[in-house]
Amino acid sequence: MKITTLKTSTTALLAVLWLSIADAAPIVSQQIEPATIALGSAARLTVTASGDTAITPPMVPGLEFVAVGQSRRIESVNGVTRSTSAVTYQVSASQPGVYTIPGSGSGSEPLVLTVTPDGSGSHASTSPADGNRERTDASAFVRLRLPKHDLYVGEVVPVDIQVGVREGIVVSLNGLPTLNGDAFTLNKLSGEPQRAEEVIGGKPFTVFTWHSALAAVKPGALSLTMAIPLTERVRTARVDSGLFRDAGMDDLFNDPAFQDLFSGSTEREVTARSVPASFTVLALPTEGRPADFSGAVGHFTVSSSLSESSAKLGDPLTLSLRVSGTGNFDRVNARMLTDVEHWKSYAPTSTFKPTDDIGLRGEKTFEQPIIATQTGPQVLPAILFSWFDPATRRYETAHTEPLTASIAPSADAAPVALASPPPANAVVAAAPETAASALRPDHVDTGEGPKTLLPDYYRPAYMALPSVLILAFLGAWAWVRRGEQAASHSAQASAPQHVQPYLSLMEKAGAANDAELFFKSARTALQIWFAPRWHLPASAITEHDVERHLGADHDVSRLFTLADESAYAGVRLNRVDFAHWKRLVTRQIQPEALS
Amino acid sequence: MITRVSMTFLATALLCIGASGAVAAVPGSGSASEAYSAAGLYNQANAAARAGQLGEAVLDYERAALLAPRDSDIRANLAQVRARAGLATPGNWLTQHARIADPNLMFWLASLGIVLTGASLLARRFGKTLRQPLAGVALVGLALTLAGVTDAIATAATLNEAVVMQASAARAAPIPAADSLFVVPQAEVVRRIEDHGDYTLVRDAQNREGWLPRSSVRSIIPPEASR
Repeated sequence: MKITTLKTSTTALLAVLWLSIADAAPIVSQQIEPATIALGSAARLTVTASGDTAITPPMVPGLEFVAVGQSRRIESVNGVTRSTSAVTYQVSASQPGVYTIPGSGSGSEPLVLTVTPDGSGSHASTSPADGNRERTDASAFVRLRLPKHDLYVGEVVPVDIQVGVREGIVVSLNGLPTLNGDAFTLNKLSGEPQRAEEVIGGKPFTVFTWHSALAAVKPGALSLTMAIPLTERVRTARVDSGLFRDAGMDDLFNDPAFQDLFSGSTEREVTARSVPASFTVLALPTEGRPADFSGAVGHFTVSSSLSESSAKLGDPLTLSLRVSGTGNFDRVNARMLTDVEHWKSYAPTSTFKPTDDIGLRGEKTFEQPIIATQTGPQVLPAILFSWFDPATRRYETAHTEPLTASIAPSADAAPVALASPPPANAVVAAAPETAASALRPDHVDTGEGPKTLLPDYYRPAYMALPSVLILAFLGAWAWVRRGEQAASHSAQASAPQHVQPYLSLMEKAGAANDAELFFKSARTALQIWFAPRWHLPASAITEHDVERHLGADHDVSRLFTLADESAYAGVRLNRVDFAHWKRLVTRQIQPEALS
Repeated sequence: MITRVSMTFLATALLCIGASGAVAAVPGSGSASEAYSAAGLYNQANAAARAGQLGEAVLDYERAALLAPRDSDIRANLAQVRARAGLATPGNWLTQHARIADPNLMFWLASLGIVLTGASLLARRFGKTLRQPLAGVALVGLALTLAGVTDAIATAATLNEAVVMQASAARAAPIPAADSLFVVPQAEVVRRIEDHGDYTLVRDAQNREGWLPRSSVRSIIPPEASR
């Protein structure tokens, strides 16, 4: 009986429970917080549905929804049981804009999410003033601590770069803080950062501090940010804290560190940035700028010394100039001494020894080799050094005290040479050397020489010269050859005309039995004929030329011999001889030319 | 006519040489405002050697030797400083023996040689009486040209040479973390092959190659823009 009653009661209770659940209409609601975020940060969207309604992530182009938590609640009020499911999404945007997230079901209103283009995101400080405030809901922040925001170009100011990270959320720092802004230069960061614990907004942060020095390179209203890459852990599922909300422990259980203990997580690389720090950078005044000003800005003192107070003629001495203080030592330059009477000076070298770890304070030493060129007490004049002092807002010039060195005669120098003053730019004698370093003596330097060590034949401006000359020579040669050939062709073409009268004269001389005239005409005809072919003037062709071109046994050579003999000794010929020599001449001269 | 052509060629060639010389004299055509002199570089090298700066000394001696290759003082002091740095005297025969004068002088002599050769060969086509003297002039011109070409070839090696200013480890790659291959001593003359970032690839006298920090080497012939 009792068992039957229990079964009946249980069945009735289950039926009531089933009916109450089945009777409940599904209700969907959603809320987003915050409604405005900066690009790079994320909002939290909570979608709540009653009953067994499935919750699916919204689909909005440009927005990414990542489920980070899920919860289910069952309530029973006056015998009515109601179940509620909630899913929490992390919403992030790929670009700035205003996005509308549609409702998920009946009773759900669309939501609007505004994404601003502010690059600071959730990992940056939010104060626009000086970059030294930070948000407490971020996992990391970067802030700058500067003594001043009004600078001169080149003025170096110390800066503290602080990076705060939440332990347990930020897994690692992936590099050193870097400067974003091309109008500034940042000195080397101090070595290991200082580490401190700090509670901001009730949450503990580990703050790393680097020291450095900052300088502006151009005037104007400028700003800069610092950034540091880091890896942070992101939750992929969330432990519901609704049960503890009423107990006032919501913060504890919403803490990422707590969530990490009980939920899944993944790592992602992000960049934390400071808010822009604004500067007013002034140009250095042109009024009152010293001629030797080289760009040094800060506050400096100078001193000088000589390696030896006495030396022998030709001994090299080292003149040292020390510039110490605070400022931009990379622009601290000194011309040292040039063209000092009785001294030969060389180019100085410089070394910088910082007295802090950021290169803001220290001492720069210039060392200049100098050699005295005259004996006796020799004075080195004061050295000037100028800089701009931002504290006084004007240019300052300091000078060293003049130095004196006693120069004794060199052991190898001739007394006469030492007694008379040396010529300008001349080094009189070499330093006496030890056996280990017996260098040969210095030379007299006239200061004349090329302005570059690159030989002229490797300088583009000169490389074309030899080619131009060779081409000019070849062109002239070709031109001359062409002219000669043209003249030769012209002479050859006109040769038959000039030969013909002498052939006629030969005919007449043969008929008159005048051997002298015959051979003279024959020789002239041949000279005219051969002249353009042998590139010789007709009158200059001799028996020697004929032998050279045709051979000593050639009939033409014999004709030239007979022509000479007939002129001076007389030659007697009969008709047959006249005919023979005439045939020889006409055979030599091309028949087609004659025709 | 041939004489006219020769004279025209000679005049044109001399005009070319004169114009090139004028280019050198135009302000701004050379970037340097300070002249290099063999004596000045030699004296500077002596001062550096006395101060124990062997890298600086060798660099300036090498530069002085470029301008005055036959100067025995430069050679002697260079050899002595190299010995002090524990280095053997380099054995480039061509550089040591084929060069006879300032390379710029050799360039102009070679140009003059081309002019003499060209003009005399052209003029030689005229007349019989001057043929032999003109042939002699052509030979002299040819000799001057060959001397200039030889000097240019001998100097070519110096274009990429540099002096190691402080002993440095040559690395296998142009990054500080790369393995060290060998150490290049101070004052060693190396051949620069390639630059990459803050490193330069060099080849030493033993034909070993490695990357040295660019700050540790200085070219014998400095880039014109750097002065």
